[in-house]
Amino acid sequence: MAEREARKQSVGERAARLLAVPADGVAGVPRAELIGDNEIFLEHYRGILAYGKEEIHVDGGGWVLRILGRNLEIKAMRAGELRIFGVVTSLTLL
Amino acid sequence: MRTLLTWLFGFVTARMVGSEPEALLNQCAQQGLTLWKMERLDPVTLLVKVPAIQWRRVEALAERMGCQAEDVQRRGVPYFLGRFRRRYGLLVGLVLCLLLFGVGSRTILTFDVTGNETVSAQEILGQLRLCGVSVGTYGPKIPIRTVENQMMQALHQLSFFSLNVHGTRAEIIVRERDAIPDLRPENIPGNVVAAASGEITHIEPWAGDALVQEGDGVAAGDVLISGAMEMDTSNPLELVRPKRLVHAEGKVLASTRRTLTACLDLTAQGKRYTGEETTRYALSILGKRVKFFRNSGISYANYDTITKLKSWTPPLGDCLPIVWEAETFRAYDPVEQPLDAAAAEALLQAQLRKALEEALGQGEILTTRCETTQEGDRLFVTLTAHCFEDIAKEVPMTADEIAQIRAASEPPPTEEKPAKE
Repeated sequence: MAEREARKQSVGERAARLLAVPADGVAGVPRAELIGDNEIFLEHYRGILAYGKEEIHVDGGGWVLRILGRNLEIKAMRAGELRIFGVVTSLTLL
Repeated sequence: MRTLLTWLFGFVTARMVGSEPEALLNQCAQQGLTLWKMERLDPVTLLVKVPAIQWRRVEALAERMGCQAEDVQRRGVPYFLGRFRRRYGLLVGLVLCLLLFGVGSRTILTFDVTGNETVSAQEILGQLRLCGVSVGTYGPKIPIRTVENQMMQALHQLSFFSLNVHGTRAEIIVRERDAIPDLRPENIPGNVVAAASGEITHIEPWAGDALVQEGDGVAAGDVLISGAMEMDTSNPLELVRPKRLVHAEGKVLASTRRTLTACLDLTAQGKRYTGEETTRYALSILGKRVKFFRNSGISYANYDTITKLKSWTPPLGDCLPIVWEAETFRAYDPVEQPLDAAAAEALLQAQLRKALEEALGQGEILTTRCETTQEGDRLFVTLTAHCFEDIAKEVPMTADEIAQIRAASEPPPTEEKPAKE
């Protein structure tokens, strides 16, 4: 946690925080949306680091999102958007 | 909706094999390539679906990144149609279908004639055919204004003719000319004569002098009202009164007796079918007859022809000019057949009564009597009727009659006195 807090924030992130506006819309900060426990929608991600049916690692820039679950599957993938289906059991920021 | 669009534009299911398939996925996403339904088969193999239009780019990208990409399955409309690209027969058929649709949808197949009362639709369509418009004519090629003018010139009974082509339907709207009323031939001198023999019960001359009076008996052809009217003169001593020729007119009611006779043979020619028959088929397309037989001659001496026509009428549409004809020729031998005398008598009586009613017009039948006699094989029925009718019949005078009347009405020649010197 301390490591994460120590992560250097981008200029955009800092400006968004200063102006009290959503950082995802202004600075292109990665945004993850969990819908129930069987769908995750990601925006502004950098890439996929690892892909499997039980574990997916997504590069968010300054951190990595580790998704654990069962029958995980990337339903759609295009530039800046990622939709993952499957039973999600755990989300961890590394 | 998305699934439908995916099928419409086509997609490829690709197998990607490489040491880092995730890197290839990231590259694809960065290049703006869309991937979906990714399935990890093993640590080095991925199964993904790619839009058909992007497959070449994905393939090239995989090759650059040292991955192996192969299409496992191709689905969608483009690939379905692509199967037929070497089937030239189908392509030719498609082109012909489109051509047929393009031309056929503008070819006249049906006619609607409205507004005609005395001129029959057949007469109008027959004349239209002579002007070059019939079933099978290509609509846009019809010089409508010219055809309308030609039709107006050809059919004098029409006062308005309009031809409108709506796709395969030609709409013809006509208005008929008002009939010229029957004008009285007042300038033609004429008499009123008796149309039938009888006893005058009432006479009412409208023009001309009555020559008979109520209670007189007259024979058919007798002059009842003369068209040579005597003119009044101021001098009562004048012996020869001039005559004026008029077209006599009037109403003459009379009590008449009419006798009508009809006969019928009590043996009629009937048919005994021999059992031999031949059927011939033909297909009529747009008025052109395609025969499905060679020899058109019939070997039977006597035969009946039974024609059955079948055509197809689409739902909510008009009958199409494609007709299947089946002509059956059935041979028979003529045989003499006796008729029922009572039925023949009833038939003749009915026919005579009908003929009498037609002859009388507005007259009235007071009593009738029928007599039936048989001479050999013939049955005679005589109808005697007592009628009350108007027997006035206008007939023009002959030139001789006119000349005679004019000569008689001229004053006698006077002797000229020599002038005094």
